[in-house]
This record gives sequence, structure tokens and C-alpha cells, in this order.
Amino acid sequence: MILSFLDMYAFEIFQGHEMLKVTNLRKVYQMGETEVHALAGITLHIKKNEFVAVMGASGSGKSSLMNILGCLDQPTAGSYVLNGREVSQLDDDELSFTRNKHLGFVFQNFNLLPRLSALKNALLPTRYAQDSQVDYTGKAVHILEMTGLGERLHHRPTQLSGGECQRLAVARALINDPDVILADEPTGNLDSTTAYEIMGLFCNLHARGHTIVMVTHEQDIAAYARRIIIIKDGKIISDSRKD
Amino acid sequence: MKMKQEILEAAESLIHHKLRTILTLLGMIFGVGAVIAMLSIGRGAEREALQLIDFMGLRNIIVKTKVFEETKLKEIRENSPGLTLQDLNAARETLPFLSAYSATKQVKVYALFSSAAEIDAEVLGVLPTHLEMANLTMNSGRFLLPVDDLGYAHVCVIGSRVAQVLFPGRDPVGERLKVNHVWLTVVGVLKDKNLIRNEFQGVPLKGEQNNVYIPLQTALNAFRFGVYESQIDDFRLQIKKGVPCSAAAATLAQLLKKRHKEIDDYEMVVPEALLEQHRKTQNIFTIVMAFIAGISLLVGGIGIMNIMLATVLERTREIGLRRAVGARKQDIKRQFLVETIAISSLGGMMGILFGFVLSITIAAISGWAVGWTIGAVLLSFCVCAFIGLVSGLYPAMQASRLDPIEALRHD
Ligand SMILES: Nc1ncnc2c1ncn2[C@@H]1O[C@H](COP(=O)(O)OP(=O)(O)OP(=O)(O)O)[C@@H](O)[C@H]1O
Ligand SMILES: [Mg+2]
Repeated sequence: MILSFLDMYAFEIFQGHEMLKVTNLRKVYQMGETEVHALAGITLHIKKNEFVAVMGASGSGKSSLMNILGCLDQPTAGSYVLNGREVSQLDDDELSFTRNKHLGFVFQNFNLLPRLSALKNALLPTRYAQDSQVDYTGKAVHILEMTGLGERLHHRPTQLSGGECQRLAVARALINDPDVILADEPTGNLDSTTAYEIMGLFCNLHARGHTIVMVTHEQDIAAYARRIIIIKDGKIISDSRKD
Repeated sequence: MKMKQEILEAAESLIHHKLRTILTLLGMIFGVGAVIAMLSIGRGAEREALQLIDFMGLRNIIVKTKVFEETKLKEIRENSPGLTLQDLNAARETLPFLSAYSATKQVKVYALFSSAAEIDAEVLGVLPTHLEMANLTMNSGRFLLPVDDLGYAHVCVIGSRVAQVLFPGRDPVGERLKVNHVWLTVVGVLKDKNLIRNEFQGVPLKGEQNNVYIPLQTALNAFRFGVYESQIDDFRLQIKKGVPCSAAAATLAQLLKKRHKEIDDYEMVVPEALLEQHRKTQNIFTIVMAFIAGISLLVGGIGIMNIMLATVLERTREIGLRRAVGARKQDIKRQFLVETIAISSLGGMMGILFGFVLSITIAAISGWAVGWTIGAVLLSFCVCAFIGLVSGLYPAMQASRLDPIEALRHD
């Protein structure tokens, strides 16, 4: 009796460590008559401060998964519990709040605003933070310096190199201190030196307690992660940890 | 703080598309500009009208002789002697509600000079009551008195220009001037009354600077007049307060019709009726203006809505990204609303500026008076901002309804 109670208690603690909890997740895209099953039942638990790499062939459903994890897209079926809350139960404002406060998304194609300076791009999420009156400029400058953009504060994205844009995208994802960083091929179009620099950045973030989920095609990039998940045809076919 | 940032962002976006912004606003600028210009001209006309009617005397009725050619006049005079002092006296007897009256007869001047100079001025025979009736004030000396009239006194009261020309550097009171063959002693000088126009709704108005006033009886007896000329040129009646001028005018019209044997050799001017008439034209003008303004603002609003819809489409990815980093639907809505209000307020301001330039130009070319009203400016500005709000609402809704992931995938 007492034992089972303790068991439950332990389970609760264990649950509390669970950052992302995805159960039997499905995503079906309707293309006219045909259905594309991008995700065909994914179950995945990611604990706080894990550094996970997601790999898989093109079209295997990695981006579909990331978009759902990033609260940008809704799954067709299955449950997604983020930090103890069922995402499908959240209303639109709560989703916005979650994206703003708890998640930092790094897009494969950067998605920077071309008319804003690097500094203003990095500051964009703070504009929608609940404490938007606070001046985040100092913090943004600090993060940009940390990501090696200290000299590029007033450059527009068009005046930055691909690697710099990527780092700016990471800086923007970090500005609101998110619990989870979701990066969809953050090194996809970078040369290996720049890619390793970005990975160095991720390792630092991981060391500072952030949870990281990153999609990559490259083995050597995936090697930076502590856990590698391989997806094929919308299903997890391999989940390995290294210690 | 947040609002300030939003407005700054909106301004940046508008500056980024300078040409497009201007083109979008053109309709609104012209619309508001035209309205402001028309309103200030209307306002100017109104102010002028009130001043002129005030000059004529709002409670006055003016009866004037009509001008005819010689043969026609001869024919008319066989039946009617024209306007006479008897007409005035009859009117005074019939209308119990007069507070003042006056009559005028102009003297034909061949020569008018003092010992110092010569001048071309008008010489008018008037009653002593003319001072009050015409709202004149004395600068020095006195006006004509009833005794002057009774005694056919050879005295006169002169306007400021006459005084200046005939008696430079001297006090004219006590000096003498000669009209045709008659010597007159100056007993008073009038103060200037500034007139902005010498005609109103077809009624000529004259200043008094260039006039010489003499007693009516002196004029009638000492000077010569044409055979068919009526005894007096005009007379004025001032109606007591509380009595409607229109009723008095109707009674007077009846009386004169009978006295002149239905011959139409005189005309009546009722300033109150003129004012009424003026108000009516003004009202039509205002209604037409409001209509034009409405249409141009509607067109302007549609233009703005159109451009905002295009902007939303063009910035779909931006919207997607903003949503992805945590913007709520209402944040997106606000962003586009602020931008639309900014653009239309800008249009409003430019329109107001344009209207000023336009009305100043029109005033300079036509010589019309213009008058600004803060009210018109504020109203146009608020209407523009409101148009912005209304025309921005739909595009902003469209923008906020975009699905984040769909918007991000948009190209
Ligand atoms: N919006 C969409 N509508 C229809 N089908 C889609 C859509 N997005 C993705 N798909 C399909 O779903 C499948 C998974 O796509 P997804 O983008 O998740 O693959 P991926 O693993 O990220 O591939 P890549 O490595 O090339 O980026 C693909 O077959 C793709 O064609
Ligand atoms: Mg992908």
C-alpha cells in the first residue's frame, strides 16, 4: 500500500522531468483525393535538459513532427503534453504564449524579417512577451555577442552571411529563455566549419540546462547530441542514447 | 510605450513603401483638401455676408428708386411721381413699429473743391437720422441736425478721404468747400468704416470715406435735378425689435403699390431676407460639399482597404513568423489596424495641408475671403482616422486569421 503510494510519488517526479511527451502522434495531409501520412503513430518522451537529434530520409516526417512540437501545427491524432500540459487543450492565445515563453524555434530557412536589423530581429519575440515594457536591448546585445554577432547588430539579414543568419535565428530563439529549443536543420545549408560553430553554441546551451531537439541529415552533426532518433515513413525506427 | 513602438513600426513600414503610400493616399488627400478648401471659402463667404448684412442693418428695409431709360421714365412719370418724401411719411404713418428711418438724395456733382484742392466725391442729401441708420460714427465735429434741415443750412459732414484731400493737414471743421455753385461749411468729419466688398447678393454697398453729406432739404432746394428724377433716391426704415421684418416688408409693399398705382418704379431690399437667402444657398453648398466629401473619403477608404489587403498578402510570411514567435491574433490585428490608421491619418493631414494651400491659392486668384475653422480641420482628421479604422478592420481580421504554419509556408 505504502509502497505503491511511493511508487506513484516517484512516478509523479519522473513525470515532472518529462519535458515533451508525445503519444501515438499522427499527421495526415489531405491532398485532394489522396492522403499523405506524414506521421504514422509516433510515441516519444523527452526529458528536461536532453539534447536530441532527429534523423531520417527526406520526406520521412521530421519537419511535420517539429512543427507539431513547436505548437505551430496541430496533429491529426494522438496527444502531445508539453511541460505537463496537453497542447490540444490550449486555446489560441495560450498557444501563442507557449510559443513565446517556452519554445524557441530555429527555422531551416531562418525566417528573418528582411527590413529589420539583426538586433531588432533578435528582439522580435520580446515584443510579444507578457512583460513587453521591459527593455531587452541589453540582453539581446549580450546574446548576439554570445552567438558571435556582436559586430553585426545593425546589419540587415540581407547584409549577413548564411551562417550569420543562422546564428541570428538561434539568437532570436534564445531571447525569451525558452525551456525547449527546436531546431529544424539548423546547419542544413552551412559549410562544416560554420556548422560546427553552431553546434558549439548548442552544446553550450545544453550545458546551461536547455532542452534541445534538432533535426539533421548529417551524422557528424547528430554526433553532438546525446540521443539520436531515426524516423522512417512517419515512424520511429531507432532511438539510441549515448552516455 | 508599446503603442509608441507600434506607431513607429507602422511609420517605418509606410516609409519603406513611400510611393505606394502616397499613391494610396492621393484620393484621400484630394478629397480632404477639396473639403477643407470649400469649407474655408464657405466660411469666409459667411463671415463676409454677416458683416455686409450687418452694414445694411439686419432690421432695416430699404426702398430704392429704379433706374429707367429716358423714354420709359417719361411714360412712367405720367402716372407715378416716383419715390418721394410723402412715401416715407405715409410709411411712417402706416407702420407703427418703426424705430428709425432715413432718406437719401444724391446730388449730381460738376465741381467739388476747397481752397486747397479738388476732389471727385459723392454728395448726398440725407436726414439727420442717417448717422444712426447707416451706423456711422463721428471723428470730429457733429452730424447734421434737424435745424439744418429745417433752415436749409449750407453745412456738410464729410468722409475721411474727402477731409484728407480737400483739407490736408488741417482740421476741416469750420472750413468751407464748394459743391457746383453752392458753398458749404464743414461741421463734422466721419470715422472710417471698413468694408470688405462693395456688393452683396446684387445690392451695391458704398463706403462713406468719399462722401459729402448735406441736409436733405438743402439738397432738394439748392441744387438742380432732372425733370423726371424722383424726389428721393431711397429711404430706409428700421423695424422695432420683436417685429418680423418680413411682415413689415409685406405691409410696406402693399402701401407702396397703392401709392405708386401698381407701377413698379421702386424696389425693396430686405437684408433679413437676403440673409435667409444666403443661408439657403450656403446650406445647399454645405450639403453638396458633404456629399462630395463623403464620396471622396469612401473612395479613399476603399483604396486604403485595397492596399492593406495587398499588404497582408505580401506579408503573409512575416505574419506567420510573428505568430510563430508568440504574437497573438489580436497583436497581428492591432499591428495592421495601427498601420491603416497611421496611413489614413497621414492622408488626412496631407489633405488638410493641401486644402490650406488650395484655399489660399483660390483666395489669391479670386479675391474671395477665406476663413479657417479648427472644427473643420479636427473633423476631417477624425473622419480620416475613422475611415482608416473601418477600412483596416477587414484586412487586419484577414491577417490575424492566418494559420501560423500555413502563413510560414506561403511564398
Ligand atoms: N503541407 C503539406 N501538404 C501535403 N503534404 C505535405 C505537407 N507537408 C509535408 N507533406 C508531406 O509529408 C511528408 C513529410 O514531410 P516533412 O516535411 O515532414 O519531411 P521531412 O522529413 O522534413 O523531409 P526533409 O528532410 O526533406 O525536410 C512528405 O511526404 C511531404 O510531401
Ligand atoms: Mg524538413
